Amino acid sequence: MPPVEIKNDVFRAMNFLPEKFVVDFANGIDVARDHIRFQRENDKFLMRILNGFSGKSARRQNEINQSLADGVEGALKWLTELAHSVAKTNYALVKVNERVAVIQKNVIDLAHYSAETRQKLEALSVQLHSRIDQLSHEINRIDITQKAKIQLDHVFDKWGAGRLNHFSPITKCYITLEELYWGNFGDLCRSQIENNQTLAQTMLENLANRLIQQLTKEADTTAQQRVGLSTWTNQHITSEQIATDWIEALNYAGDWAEPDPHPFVFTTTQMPNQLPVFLPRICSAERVAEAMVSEIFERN
Amino acid sequence: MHEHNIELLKKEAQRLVKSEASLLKEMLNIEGLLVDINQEQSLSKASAEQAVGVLEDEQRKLENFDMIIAVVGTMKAGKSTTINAIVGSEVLPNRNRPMTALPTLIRHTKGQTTPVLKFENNQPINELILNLEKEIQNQNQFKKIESLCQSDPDMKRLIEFISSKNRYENQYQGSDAIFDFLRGLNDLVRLSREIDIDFPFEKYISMNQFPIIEIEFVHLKETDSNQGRLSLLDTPGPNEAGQPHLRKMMREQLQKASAVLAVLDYTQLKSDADYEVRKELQEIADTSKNRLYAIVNKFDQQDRRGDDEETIKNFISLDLMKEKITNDSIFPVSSKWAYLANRAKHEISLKNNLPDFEKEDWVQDFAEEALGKRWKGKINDREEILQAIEDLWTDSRFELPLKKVIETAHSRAAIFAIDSTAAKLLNFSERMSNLINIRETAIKKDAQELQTQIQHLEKDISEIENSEKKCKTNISQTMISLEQKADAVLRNTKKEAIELIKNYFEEGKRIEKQENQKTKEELRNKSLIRKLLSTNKSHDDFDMNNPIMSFSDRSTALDLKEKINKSVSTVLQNTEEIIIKEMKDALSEFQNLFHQNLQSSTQSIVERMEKRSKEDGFEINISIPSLSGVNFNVSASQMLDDIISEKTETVTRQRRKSGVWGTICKWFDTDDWGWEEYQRKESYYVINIDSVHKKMVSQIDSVFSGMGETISIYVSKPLNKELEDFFDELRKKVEGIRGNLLQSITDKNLNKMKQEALFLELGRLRKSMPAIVKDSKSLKGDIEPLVTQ
Repeated sequence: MPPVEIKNDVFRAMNFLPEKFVVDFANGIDVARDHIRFQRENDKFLMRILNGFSGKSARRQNEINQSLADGVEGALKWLTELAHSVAKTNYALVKVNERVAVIQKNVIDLAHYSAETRQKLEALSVQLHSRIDQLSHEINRIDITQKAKIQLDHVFDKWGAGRLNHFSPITKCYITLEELYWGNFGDLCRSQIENNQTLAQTMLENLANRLIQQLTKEADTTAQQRVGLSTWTNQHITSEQIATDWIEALNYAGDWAEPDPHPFVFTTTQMPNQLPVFLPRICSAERVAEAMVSEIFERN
Repeated sequence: MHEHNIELLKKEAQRLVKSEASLLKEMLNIEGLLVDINQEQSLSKASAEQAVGVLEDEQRKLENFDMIIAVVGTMKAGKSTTINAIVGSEVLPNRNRPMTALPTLIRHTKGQTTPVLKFENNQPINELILNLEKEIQNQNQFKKIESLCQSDPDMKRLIEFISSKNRYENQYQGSDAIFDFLRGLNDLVRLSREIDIDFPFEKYISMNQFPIIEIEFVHLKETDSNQGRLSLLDTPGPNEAGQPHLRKMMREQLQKASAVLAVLDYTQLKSDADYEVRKELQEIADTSKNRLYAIVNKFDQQDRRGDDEETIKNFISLDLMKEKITNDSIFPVSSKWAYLANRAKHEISLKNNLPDFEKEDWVQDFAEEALGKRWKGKINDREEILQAIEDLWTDSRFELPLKKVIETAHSRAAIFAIDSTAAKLLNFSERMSNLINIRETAIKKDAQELQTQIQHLEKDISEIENSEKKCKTNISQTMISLEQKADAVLRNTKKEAIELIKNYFEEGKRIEKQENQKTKEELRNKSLIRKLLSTNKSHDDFDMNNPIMSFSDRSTALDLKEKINKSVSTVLQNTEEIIIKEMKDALSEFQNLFHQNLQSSTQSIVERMEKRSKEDGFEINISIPSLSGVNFNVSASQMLDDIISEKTETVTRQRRKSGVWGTICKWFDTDDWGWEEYQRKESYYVINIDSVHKKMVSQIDSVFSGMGETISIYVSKPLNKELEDFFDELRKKVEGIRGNLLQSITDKNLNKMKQEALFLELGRLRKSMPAIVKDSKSLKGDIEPLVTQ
């Protein structure tokens, strides 16, 4: 299967995917067993993303495969490159940084890692810190609240302008929320949860309200009008190749969801044959919006 | 939510049942969470286990609910044929006499090709037979029994059956045995009526007490068995039910039925539409709105001069049913053709051929209808027969009404099943949520705080109790004023009746005076000796104040008596109408107010409670119990029926024909009404107006003396019951919350680690609660309007 290009429609619609990818890549580095928890059969999509990031040439392709086979050493090389070229958001950088700190600690505990590895890690850590500092400087310069608001308007404008039109309302809802979660809106929300719970709650309520407005428009219902689940879940994807890409992308994006605590996200992204029992078969726009916001923003 | 979404509601109900059952099971598995203590809690171990069982039961009922299609109509209209047509075999006997002594269920049972009748509830009948056996041997009854045996072979057979100590079994196989059973049952009702022993109708009131015939309905053979269990309810027709309490029972059955199919007779449409049938059908339409279908049977007998389909539909919907049924629910059909076609189809599918027409009469009937006069030449042509079956079925026009009535029954039954499930779902979800929330919050609170909460709740409980007391007083005050109103009407009635009698007395006296003068003139012409010999004193002293009126002419006396009779009847009829109207108005006004008061007064208690708990960090959920509402509408006229029947049952059972005035007329004839006939040398006739007056007043009094009791049975008892259930439910909820808090104090005895473990489990469970409560509430909200539709 061809690599998933970063300029691909999938990424254009789901800006958060590369960010998630870099974080997952970092989290996949298993220091103790000296490998990456990535190269499993069912992670084909991830390999395709990775190939997409690394360019088309066969030489590069081989290089990647070679480095990944090299275990932690090779992975760190790639992580450094990905963190530099792919990760754009504060959240992704913070998450990668957290992981790097853990890896640094583990590497010290394990004798067989070379001094070079530690140096590479140190360099990466410095790089990440400087990026994070830079971002937080920027954040201080422009009001973070302002930035969050800009992002919020941006993602809803994107939805409103029909950029997500071949998706079902619930998928549009999901993609929009993930974008916000990974972006400035999510940053603000997370910082508010630490400082001022009520403000964070208000932010999420406002977010749910925006979603309700958009969903009621999509389905031509009122906020509380209960309709069959299919009103929210019916897709409009026609091309098969696109469909496969999308399905794989969604599968990957929502791989954290479990049927019981996250019935809506699980259903939207994993498309199970049997629907989770906690997923209502009849629901209103309000119900969908509230559940989606809570599943995505209150995940652990 | 529209009807086509019922399937969706059902899926959602099933989904919620699964999730609540799995949550309950999870709760049961958490150590130390659910315990059985001697305190009402939102959930105990035992009640949670019970709830799981209830939910499993609901799941089954949602999968396989009972759909009951009640078939009503007179025997003459072809009710049995219609039922046989739906079933596809002769499951009910087609006799000239009404055959439905008891309501009977005919249940579609896959694979059951020969009918089997199950009668689990045979004990009351067998006890009756034992009593009858004794009575038959009683010398006093000998004459009656003998004449019954002579005049009626069916009776003779039954009496022999009883005398030889036979008893009813609880199962009968095959049509013949079922026929015998049903005929016997019907004769049994007649016999017990003849020798004045009560038939135990009161032991046959709910669906599971009726006899059930299980048979595969030919037409439904291919359908999905997951669509619910279909039964036809064969009900005694309007004229056949007889006793008032049976009619009341029937009305309740019809209310519970998923759909009602009324069978009318095309050929008798105008003549058959007598007052009783009309009234009965309209009443059925009142209670079975949107699920009543009328088939106009014997449409095959339409001739060129007959009314066409549209005219018939209009006549029924406008004239007969007063717009209580729409044209698209009325279907002219031929049940006979449908029956013959379906039965032939059934036989061919079983045996590949029709039975010998010389052995089975119906085959000849079928052949004549389906193949025409020269049927004998075609009867062995299988292809021809198959085509003829299809054609006859099409001509019978039976397909559409059958489809519609089954569809309606299906959605109605589904709605009822979902409604019952939804109520339980909401109840369980609230209880789970209250238990989880309180126990989780309480772990982080100290015992003192919990005690304070408990004290608050105790105050709430006593406030709820006060509110209940107030509502009860409210009901009894209303009942008093209702009785006063009825009393006032009665006092007027009596006054009017007395006034009437006074008038007639004056008229009678006038006649008496004229007669007297005539007699005096006659006497003047007689000899002195005969004058002295005359013993007829009353003729001499005409006295305006003497209450005795005497007439020498019998017909004059009878005329006057008849006049009094008629006038009093009219007065009583008016009284009935006035009382019914007053009661209806008063009751509906009262019920509205009552519900409003009840809901608003408890709502404010609950809101205060929820707000206070929330401020203290406890999230509780209490929905106000729903009020079923007592249905007064049907009972107003029924109520008066019962006032009479209760008073007359012991003396004049079966006599009442047409309401209060009918009963009064009877009393004129049967009781001593001061009407005497003296036979002397000269006959003369006496009406003692004092006696008439006294008797009438005492009869009016005794007729309506049941009023207070009736109001109590029909109005105040159900209202009080509704009220008690409402408050019981509410109080239980609050007491449950108090119990949760008490149990939380016990949680404090656990070691730190166990407390922490419980806290984590509760936190995890709490996350799913708001959605479950909300979804259950919404489901109930969706289904409720459909139930009352």
